[in-house]
Amino acid sequence: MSKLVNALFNLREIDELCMNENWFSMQKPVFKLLAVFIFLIMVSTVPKYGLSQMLYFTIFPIVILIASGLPVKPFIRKMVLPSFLAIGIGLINPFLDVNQFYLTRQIVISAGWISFFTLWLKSLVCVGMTLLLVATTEIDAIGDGLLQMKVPKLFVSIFVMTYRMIVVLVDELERGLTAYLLRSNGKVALNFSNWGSFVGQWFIRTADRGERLHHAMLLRGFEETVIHETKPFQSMDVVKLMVFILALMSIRILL
Amino acid sequence: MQEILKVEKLSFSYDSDYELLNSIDFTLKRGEKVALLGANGTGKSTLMKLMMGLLTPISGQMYLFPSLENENNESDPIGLQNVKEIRKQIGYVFQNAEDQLFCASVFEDVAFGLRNYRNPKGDKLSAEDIEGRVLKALEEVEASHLMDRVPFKLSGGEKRAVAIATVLSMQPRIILMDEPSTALDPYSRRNLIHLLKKLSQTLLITTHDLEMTLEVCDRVMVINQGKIVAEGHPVEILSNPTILDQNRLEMPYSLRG
Repeated sequence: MSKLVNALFNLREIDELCMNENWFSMQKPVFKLLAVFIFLIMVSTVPKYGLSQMLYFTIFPIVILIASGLPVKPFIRKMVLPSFLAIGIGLINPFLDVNQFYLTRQIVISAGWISFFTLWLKSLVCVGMTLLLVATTEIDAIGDGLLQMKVPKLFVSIFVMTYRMIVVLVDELERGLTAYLLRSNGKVALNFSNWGSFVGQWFIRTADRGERLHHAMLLRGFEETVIHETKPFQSMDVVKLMVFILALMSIRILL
Repeated sequence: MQEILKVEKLSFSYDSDYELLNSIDFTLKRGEKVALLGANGTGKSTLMKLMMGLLTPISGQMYLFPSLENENNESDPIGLQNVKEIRKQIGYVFQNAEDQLFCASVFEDVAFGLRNYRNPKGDKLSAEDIEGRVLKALEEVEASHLMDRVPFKLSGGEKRAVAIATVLSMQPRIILMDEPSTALDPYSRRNLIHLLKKLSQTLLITTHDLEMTLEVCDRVMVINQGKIVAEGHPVEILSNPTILDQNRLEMPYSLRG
């Protein structure tokens, strides 16, 4: 159970990946934020039968992942849960959507399968691209990117602090689970009768540790926004972004 | 030695029934290394949190006297009301080093405070200055090699060293340390003792490590029932059986005949 939690939610692992220097991590945060944001919009507007378009869009995160030289395993592990969720949501499509779809003149399948695979790929590609963003950009740099994009300070502060809080939440969940399982006489999961007290303790411990971390930040001059200045967005970045948007648009419109 | 900090009649209570700290008075002198001893639950950590403005006292005051080479030529002491200035001039090393480290890399963690730093004119530190101060702080704690590491993957001793570096980089005049030698192996503890001896800042250390107290500190204060009940040279205090008995302390091996 603890291993599963670790595999799915270990944000420290993602933080660690940020330490690798590669061509994608060296791009400016604003460029990456805008590129990923536009990519997500393009993907989410793909029609429900746009499987061929989705196949092209899938190439983007794969190419970025390979070209960045980032390890593939952590990404696959973190995509297991969204993948199953998407399967769970989309699995009724083949039964509800009974239109026929001609793959060739002879091969006909239910259009529901096409919409199912499109939805599944959409979710995987969106999660993958977001993971790539956070695995190549420190959270404080993302915060600085958002500030450069004129996102209100308060929002950026809440975003960065929420991320830190989630890290603490996951840490405490893992510690609590380990302590529980070590004294649970070989059980592999939480007993239902212990859920109430476990969750209560988990939240109390998280709040407590969160407060201590916040104190540590306050003592080192933290006021409202984490300051992590990155290089500003320049004309060369605009050109790169335009090329990227053009590539996305051509897939979205021409194919 | 000139006074650098004065705590006057500081009282604090977590609930209205019991005053954990009851009108505490003490002073620290420039460059002095002082140990604050006492049993668990006597309010040592609470006192440090009060001094850092993380908790609000019921009554009392703390005065931080300006440095001799004061940039602003201010002569008035800084009170607890000016939390911002207090936190700039006093560093606090947490009991659990993990609570002090929250960035993606050791470098980022040590640089965190410097990025928030403003000089009296309101200017930020340049990237070069920040890097220089981070490197210097890491060198002081002999942790330069950890600069690019992820803090949560460090060993206990390394985490402690980096936590101290996060404070040293801010160049505080006083450093408060909450049980710095807890959970350290003998080698890391020895390194810590060397570091503490080497530091030029005024130190206030809460600890149960009495041998370390003997090696590092110039003066000892014992806290019990909300008050400083004994104060003096470490050898004098730690060899006094009455004080030791009354405060759940034990004579260090090096003082036993």
